[in-house]
Amino acid sequence: MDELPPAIVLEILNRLNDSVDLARCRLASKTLNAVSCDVRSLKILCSFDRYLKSKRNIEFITIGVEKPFWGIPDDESDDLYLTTVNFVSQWLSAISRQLKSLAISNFWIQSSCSGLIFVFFVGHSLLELEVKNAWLSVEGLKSMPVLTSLTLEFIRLDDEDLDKVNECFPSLQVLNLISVGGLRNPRVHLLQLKKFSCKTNTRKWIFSQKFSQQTNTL
Amino acid sequence: MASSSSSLPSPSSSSSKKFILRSSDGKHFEVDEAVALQSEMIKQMVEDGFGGDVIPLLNVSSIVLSKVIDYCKKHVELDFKKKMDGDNEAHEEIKNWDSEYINVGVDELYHLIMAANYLHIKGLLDLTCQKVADIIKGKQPEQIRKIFNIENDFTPEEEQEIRKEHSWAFE
Repeated sequence: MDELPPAIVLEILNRLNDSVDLARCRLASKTLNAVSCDVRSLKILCSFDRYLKSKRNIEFITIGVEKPFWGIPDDESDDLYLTTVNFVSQWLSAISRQLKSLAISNFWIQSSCSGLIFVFFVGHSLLELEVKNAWLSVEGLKSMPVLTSLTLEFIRLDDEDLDKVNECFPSLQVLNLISVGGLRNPRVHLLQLKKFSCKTNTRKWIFSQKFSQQTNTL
Repeated sequence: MASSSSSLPSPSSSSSKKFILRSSDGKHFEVDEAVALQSEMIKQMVEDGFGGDVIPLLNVSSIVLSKVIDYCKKHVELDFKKKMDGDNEAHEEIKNWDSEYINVGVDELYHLIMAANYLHIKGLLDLTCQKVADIIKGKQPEQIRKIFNIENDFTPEEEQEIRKEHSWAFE
């Protein structure tokens, strides 16, 4: 197998999809070790330290809380506060430079008891962002000029008229708001928007333009 | 009935155009056009006018080629079925057939990957690469080396270094 062309080896490693399996492959031989640096997509179940040590050029990341944690009432471990200020400022500033797609799925009970949260943060190159189960503050929200897709699910958003969202994500083409609370007079003013879907109990939406696709269910 | 490049190949059709493939060890295999054209490499050769009487496949032995032809034949048949019976049923059948087909030893798997890569058969390349990944999953480095006959070319110091860096993976 050591005679396989590097492109094929990379194809195989890309299919592992798991950081532990990948690390073990790196130790198998120099070829595998060298090729593993080109892996572009990975599911990571690891701590921040562990991640930083692996020094990769990851472009697509999903960060989530493992299923077994659901139903546990509370936990003091910092690792689980995925959207708290500390986590965000440390973790994301370290990884976000080349990141193109990010999905965060938080643990709702913790996110709600840890108070208001910043989540809007990351690098200028991010194209897709998906956040689930969190309480989001838009205070200090930085502009993400190239972000084209934003999905918020089970979110309490402190931006009742969506002004900040309109302002900070001018290139949005896809906006999905599913069970998003905290909206009062939402106004969608996004000139690039092509697809909008929402499932919220907000009845009145104001749009500054028409889209090709629009779903709006209560 | 036109026998040239028909877009709906019938697997049972005896009137379709035939190709003869020659393996690296000189054996000849006669296959239907649709079966041969599963290979992008052969397709390209034919388009460029090289598909005369016999198509020589210098990098594929007869043992491997016959196995690759099995794959192509089945997939032509299943693609045809998919068009007739609808997606769902055929999808399930393809999945089952593939997983049975790929249940082979590492040596054979290696040769199939090389052949799929050389012949440019994307479906077969996907299937074989996924199989290797599935074998690797959950294994320790020593096991990976043993299964794939990979030589450990690290010095003990280098190995220690990587192990330290990834200590979490070896807990």
